[in-house]
Amino acid sequence: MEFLLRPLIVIFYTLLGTIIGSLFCVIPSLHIYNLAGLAFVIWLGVKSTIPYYALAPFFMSMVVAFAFMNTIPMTFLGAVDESAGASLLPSNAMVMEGRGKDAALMTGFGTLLGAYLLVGFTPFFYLIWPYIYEVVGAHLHWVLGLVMVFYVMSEWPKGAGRGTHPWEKFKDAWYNCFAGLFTFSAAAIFGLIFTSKSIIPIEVSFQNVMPVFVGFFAIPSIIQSLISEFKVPEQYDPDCINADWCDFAYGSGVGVAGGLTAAYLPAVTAGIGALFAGHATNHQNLDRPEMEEDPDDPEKEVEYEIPEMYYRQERNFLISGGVGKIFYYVGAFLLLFVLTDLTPGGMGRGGLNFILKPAFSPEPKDYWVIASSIVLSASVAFLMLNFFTEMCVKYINKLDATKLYIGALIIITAIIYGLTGLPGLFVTAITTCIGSVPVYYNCRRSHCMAVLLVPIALGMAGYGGYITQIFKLA
Amino acid sequence: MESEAEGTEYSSEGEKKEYETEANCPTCGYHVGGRPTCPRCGARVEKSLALSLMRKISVVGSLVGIVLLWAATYYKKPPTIEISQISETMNNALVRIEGRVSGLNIDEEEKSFSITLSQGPDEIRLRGFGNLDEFKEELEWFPPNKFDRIAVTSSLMIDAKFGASMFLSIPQRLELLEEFEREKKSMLDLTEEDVGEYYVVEGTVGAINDFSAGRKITLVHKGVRYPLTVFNSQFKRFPERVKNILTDKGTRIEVFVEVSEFRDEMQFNLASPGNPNTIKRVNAQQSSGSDQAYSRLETGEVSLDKKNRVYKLNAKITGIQKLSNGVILTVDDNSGASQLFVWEGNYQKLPGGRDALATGRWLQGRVKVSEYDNQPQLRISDFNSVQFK
Repeated sequence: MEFLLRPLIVIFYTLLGTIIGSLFCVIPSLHIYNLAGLAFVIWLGVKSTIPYYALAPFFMSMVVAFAFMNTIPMTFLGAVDESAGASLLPSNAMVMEGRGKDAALMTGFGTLLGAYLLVGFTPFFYLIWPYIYEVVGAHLHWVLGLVMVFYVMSEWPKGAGRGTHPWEKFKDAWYNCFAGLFTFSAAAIFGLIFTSKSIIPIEVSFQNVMPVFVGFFAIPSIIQSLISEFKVPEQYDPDCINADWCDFAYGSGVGVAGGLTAAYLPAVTAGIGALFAGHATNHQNLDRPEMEEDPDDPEKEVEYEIPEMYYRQERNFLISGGVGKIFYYVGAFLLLFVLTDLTPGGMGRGGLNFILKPAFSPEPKDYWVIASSIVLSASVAFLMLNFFTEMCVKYINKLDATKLYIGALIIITAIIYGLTGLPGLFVTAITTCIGSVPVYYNCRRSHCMAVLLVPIALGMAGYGGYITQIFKLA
Repeated sequence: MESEAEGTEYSSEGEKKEYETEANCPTCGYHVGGRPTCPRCGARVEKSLALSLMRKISVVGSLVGIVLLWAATYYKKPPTIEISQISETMNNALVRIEGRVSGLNIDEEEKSFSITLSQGPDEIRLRGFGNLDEFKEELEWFPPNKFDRIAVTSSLMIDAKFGASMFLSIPQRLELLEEFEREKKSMLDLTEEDVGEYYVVEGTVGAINDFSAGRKITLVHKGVRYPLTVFNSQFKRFPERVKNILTDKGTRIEVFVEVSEFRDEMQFNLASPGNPNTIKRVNAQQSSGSDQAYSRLETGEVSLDKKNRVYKLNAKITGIQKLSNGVILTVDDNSGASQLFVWEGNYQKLPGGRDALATGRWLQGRVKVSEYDNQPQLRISDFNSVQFK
């Protein structure tokens, strides 16, 4: 019976990680890496809490659960209006129409499909990916440079150009573009200073970027939600998902491309990866949709087809987003376990890799343990997502979202103060200011990722030291 | 009219919907969220004051915050820590570490280097990739020598498999605290107590014997000779200048060595193989390495004081004692008898082979004083110099 003990313990910790991750990640704006950081500190204090061989499955299952469960706060508690939803997050637009369950489960099923695809990609990871990893590795600095150029250039004027004077019209049309450039530049300068010399206490420096990202993304979201006094309308409770297998097949392709891009390129998140993949495959979104029956009046074709194109893009966005985020969050850590002759140290990237690497080193046979954990955890997490979605459909419009956001703000602030002290709060205050610019000036929030993109690209190009000297921080 | 417009929206059926929230457009009642202008009708939202304040705070706060952050980091001094204090949660911490250089490797081709910094039993590896020339230009003293005391400020990279290391990209973050005073010692003065010590010694390049992993270069000084072991892995990294010095017999060199022991024989290892500057040609005078450089040994004066020194010997074989691995010859030049050991593996190197070892014959050649069982014992140091009469 002893041979069963270890697998049973691994299964236990996989389930435990899934449940803990699922429960905590329902809290809006709480990122799994904040939770993983806390769990890691607890484990370092009392290493007997988790056996070493169950450490990676435990943390991995927490991340898998996050990839599923963050759909709940993002879908049901995200604060946007319809017009923003049409261009940014279709899930929020769907919630406003009472189709939150559809949005959550479409994303969740995409994530489940992505988890199975991720494990199915094993031969690709072992036979082809190491060559891509090695060959592209030497060119990452200019690849990241192109990412930044493309990203900034793809921001387009959103204003309508209203105003009584030319200057007002110009300002109305272009302010979001300038806001994007301002956000990108401010985040980049902040990142260059912060990565040259961090002020976070050295004892918790493995969580250096936690207060940065909380300020850039979490707190502005909460402020935005509190200001907008967003109230979730009553939700429908359908028995089916408004997508077919063709939608999932198409969305999976886009999601895998975006997710792998994000999993490979440092500081490129799932959102940026999805943007690239979306642009690369957008021509399919613009294809004329097939109608069961063409309208008699040819002039009505536009009236029929344009909404159908919109809804098709909506489905693609949600499904590919679900697939992409599991490739990004989970795939980036899974690649740490792909040990080949070319990549003896694995190819892991991402926050969890950074947190665990000082204490955990994978062995060749660990891959199958971790792959099995992903399948188990993903299946359980999808059931959890289904359950929480049902709860949201029933009770979300009765929920006092203001109290929830204030509670989330208190929890996040307590975590930052507890882990990083006053310097962490100081850093969060600055990044909250920068992160609020996109919120109030209506530009892309992921411009804030310049905080890592620019220092990493310059560091890889060999200019890191030079930049540090320019800022007189040597 | 005003009260009707505020928070009012018309449904598709034409019914009025009343909203009490301030997040709606005051003109058309459309939900505008955090926007200052209604995206449907373009009207300004009544709570524009609060939003404009937030906007100002976000922009001004961003700029002021960046300046404050720069000031905070400018005046922050990275804490100095001990290597033993490094823990898993310090990954990516910017710290200052002081210690002695215990290892140095320089790759001139790749322009890379690695320095091992030690604090007692604890070590950390410092690495620089592709920036060797930059460090040499900025720091006059770079590369450091073994045992120099240096301080480094950089971010810790902690890996469960490879331990802690630091990447060096900024020369100004490397400081020389104390240059190690390398003691110069004559090879004549070396004793067994010096094993494990580090000295700069001067000698002439004598015989060079290759072995599978490297070569033993004999350093000769006034009759005293010690082998200097240079491994292939070390040799191939030397610049051509140093390679030439070490392979040119008769060249007088000065080298920083660690005195060590191998099979009860004292020998030298390179103390700082990563730093080619520790091997120098001291003058161009060619030392012949011939017998003229050695003094004559009288067999009656052999003692442990002369251990490891090489002498000329001219003595008669007066006795032969067979051992399992060779023979012990009793040699005597009328000043008193001494023991000379010849290992069976070296018989073939003797002119005439084993048969040449016979009582009554005179043996001439260079011998080295060694020790066996606390007694002095002679060994042939250069078989090419041996002659029988």
